[in-house]
Amino acid sequence: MTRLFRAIWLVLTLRCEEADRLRSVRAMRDLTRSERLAERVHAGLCKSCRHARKQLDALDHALQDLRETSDAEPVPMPAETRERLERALRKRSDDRP
Amino acid sequence: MEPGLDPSRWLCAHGDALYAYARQRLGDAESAEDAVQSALLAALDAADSYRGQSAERTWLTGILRHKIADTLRQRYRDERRAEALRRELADPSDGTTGVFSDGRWAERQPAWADLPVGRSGLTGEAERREFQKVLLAAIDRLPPAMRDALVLRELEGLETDAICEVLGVTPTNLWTLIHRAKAKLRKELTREWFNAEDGNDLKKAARSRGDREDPATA
Repeated sequence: MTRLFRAIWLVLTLRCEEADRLRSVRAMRDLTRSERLAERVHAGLCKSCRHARKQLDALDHALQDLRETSDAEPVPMPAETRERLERALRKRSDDRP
Repeated sequence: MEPGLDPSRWLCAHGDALYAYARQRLGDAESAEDAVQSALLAALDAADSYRGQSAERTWLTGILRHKIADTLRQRYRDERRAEALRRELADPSDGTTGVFSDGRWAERQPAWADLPVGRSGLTGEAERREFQKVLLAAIDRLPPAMRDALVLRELEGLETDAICEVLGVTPTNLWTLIHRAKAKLRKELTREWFNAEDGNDLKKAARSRGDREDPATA
């Protein structure tokens, strides 16, 4: 009974900011049944939250795409950095038994 | 040493890619250089254990990932950075300033047109690269802790426990950082990519992008 009351209370009181927070963390932790229900009901009534949900889906997709392709375009290492690294590697190579 | 594991060849063949990887995840050139150097030296020390089961680049990147996590762990053991993180978390509006007002959206949220993700064709690939540059720049502009949390989660794919251990935060604090980071990124992308503050401008921007659509993929 208490759980049901809590769920109804959450549905009635959830605001956009908290709904957005729930959407942001859903991939990192399981939302409770009450949280899922409250977010869905809220998004059903709030156009901005429906748009925000789609924005978040698109952003997550874009971040995943970035993760999978981020090494495809190397950034040239500055010449000084390259020289320092070459020196460090040569020294370590020479020190090896 | 295994044949093909010549350190000078590592720099020629993988240096730029490793540097770009570290630069993107650590946010500054100096830390990136240190991480790449530590990784290459560690790789040199472990060269005898390389069995060629993975590609050389993959093997080196794996070592670099550990060094990046070490660098970030060290970063958050620094008292000044830890204090900055506490301040970042204590500010209830940080990252969401201007996004929410009294718990509700400060401005109506526009419907985004499709992002150029996973597109093929010359124009599609060029637009995807252009978008990734905008996204990476927006990630770089995030406050440090938000940036590091987002990078570890979304680019490195670490689990909550591992990120909390690196940053020295609780899961609840991590979720707050990720939420704020994503709220900030969406706001930035609405402005920077769609060049719009509201839905009307957005539709106009989407139409203008549609004009440049690759005929092969349109």
